Amino acid sequence: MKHVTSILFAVLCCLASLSAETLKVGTSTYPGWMDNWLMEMKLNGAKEPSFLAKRTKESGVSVEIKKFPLYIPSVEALVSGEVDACTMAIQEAITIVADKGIDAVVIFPHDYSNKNDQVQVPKDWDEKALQGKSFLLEEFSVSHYLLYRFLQERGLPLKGFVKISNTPGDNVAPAFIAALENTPVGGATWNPGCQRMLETGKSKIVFSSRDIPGEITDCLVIRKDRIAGREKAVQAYVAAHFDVMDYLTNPKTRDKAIRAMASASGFKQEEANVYAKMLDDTRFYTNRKEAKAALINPALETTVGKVKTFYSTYGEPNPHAGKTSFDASYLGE
Amino acid sequence: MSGRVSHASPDPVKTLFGEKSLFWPLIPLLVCGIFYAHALGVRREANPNDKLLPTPGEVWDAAKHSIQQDEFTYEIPLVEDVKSSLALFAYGYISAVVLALVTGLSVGYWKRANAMWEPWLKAISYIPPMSLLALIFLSFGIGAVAKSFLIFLAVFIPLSRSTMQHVQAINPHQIWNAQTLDPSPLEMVWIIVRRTIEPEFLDDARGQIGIAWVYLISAELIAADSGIGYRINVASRNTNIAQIIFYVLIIGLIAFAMDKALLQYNRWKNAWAFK
Repeated sequence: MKHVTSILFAVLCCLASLSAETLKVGTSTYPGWMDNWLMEMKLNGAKEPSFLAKRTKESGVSVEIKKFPLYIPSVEALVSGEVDACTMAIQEAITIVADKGIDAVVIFPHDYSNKNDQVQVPKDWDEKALQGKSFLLEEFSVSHYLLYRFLQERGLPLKGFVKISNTPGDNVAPAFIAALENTPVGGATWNPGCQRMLETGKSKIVFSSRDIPGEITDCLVIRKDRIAGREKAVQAYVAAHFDVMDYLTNPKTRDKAIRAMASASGFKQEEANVYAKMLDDTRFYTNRKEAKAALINPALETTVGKVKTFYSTYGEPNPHAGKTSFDASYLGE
Repeated sequence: MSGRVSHASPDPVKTLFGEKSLFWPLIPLLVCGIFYAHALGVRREANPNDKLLPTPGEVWDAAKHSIQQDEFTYEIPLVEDVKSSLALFAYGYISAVVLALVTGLSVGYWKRANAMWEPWLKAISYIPPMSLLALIFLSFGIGAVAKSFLIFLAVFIPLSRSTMQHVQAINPHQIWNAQTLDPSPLEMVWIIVRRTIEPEFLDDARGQIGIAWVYLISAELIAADSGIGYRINVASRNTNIAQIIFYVLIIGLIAFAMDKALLQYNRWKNAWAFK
């Protein structure tokens, strides 16, 4: 009997060590999420470890960052369990993650979009005469939410007023630019796409996330069933995130941080100043205190309510939706 | 492959207007160049910052940037991209070619294997692999396995079918002749049949290189953080057309080198078929 218990104990220990697995984080290109690129870069020189390497080594855990070319597929990878955590706007946490029946926890907010998400139309369009026009955007995504809020704020009918041509959010910019050549349409997406659309000189902003401050909050969402055994890895990841935030806010390194972000987003070196301008449209939570205050702010719950109303306006919410909760415990006291 | 030899007396390659002169392929290039330069001029006049048609100088800058060590990752972008794309290509394409050879030989030579598998190979060949993309990603995840599998599927099905047809087209007299040497069934298939169809098989495999590239690039658009397709996607979002053109040229170059290498190998290994 003693043997059996000791074997059982050994097996349990093995299982416990197995469950202390790699934390897989999914992300995609957006100014607020470039921390995922920067924390893997050797910003302090070729010989120095990256922020993430340093933090994971300190606590003996492993974190793997999976960078997706498209935003919605990264969120879907969280739903399918391909990744344990993912960067997303609070909108997708409700309309995709919770709606697919996944219980998820918001660990920290990166920023809120303060003009990074925009609704744009060709310059020669009359803002007052948008009825029946087509808009390129990804259905049920944060961009759809933005268009919904636009219609709401202007007192326009929410349904059937404009046509939506469903396009992956990250591909809205190239499609919008191509359409400008012969069959102009409107478009709603996020940066850096919006920036590229404006650069054509043939487009203007009619509504942006600056008109609804704080509603588009970008955050790190983790599946509830993947937390156990990964607490230390999450802590190391959060620490690396704030290392990047320190690097970004430190006046000595800010310039290099911005150039690194620009380079990782596929901007040319000479376009780094263009990228810097986009950071003004991103209201970062640069330290744990700020991030925690935003995470426990009841305004976030209000936004969640608005998103649910948005979703039930256009879609069919899953009656067995998962629960989205907020856990500020990783942000310290 | 036995090219007709021209009997015209002056060397057809060396005279400027000869049949095979290098002058002729330059004409379409020149025409395209003139059109491009014209369109470029018109667009730049309308908008000096136009990005849709880059100048050769901009393509050159994009190329330089791609082969320089990155300031932040200490990697050379082009090297990383080519490495990760070629790895996917190798997994998918090589496994497809090897398995297609085995399948094609078996299904082509053994009547019962044929009866069992041929209808299925035929049925699957009507399904465009791209339409299975979502299924493949759902069942194999988003890693290298799914991407290589897509390439594998796209190459394996047509290649095993054409191999099977080549085996079936072998002159029966050749098989009878070989049988007088009393080979074992495996020797028969692997040595006699395989050697007979090898030139055609390698030619078909060569034709599939282009197909494999199509699926490689498509696969990299879904989930990847490096690779040629990924870089083209990022460049497209940033309207960095110069970068796209440079990477397209790189793809062309690599595919050309692969094609030539396989052709040369075939000619050297199966010189008898090219007489």
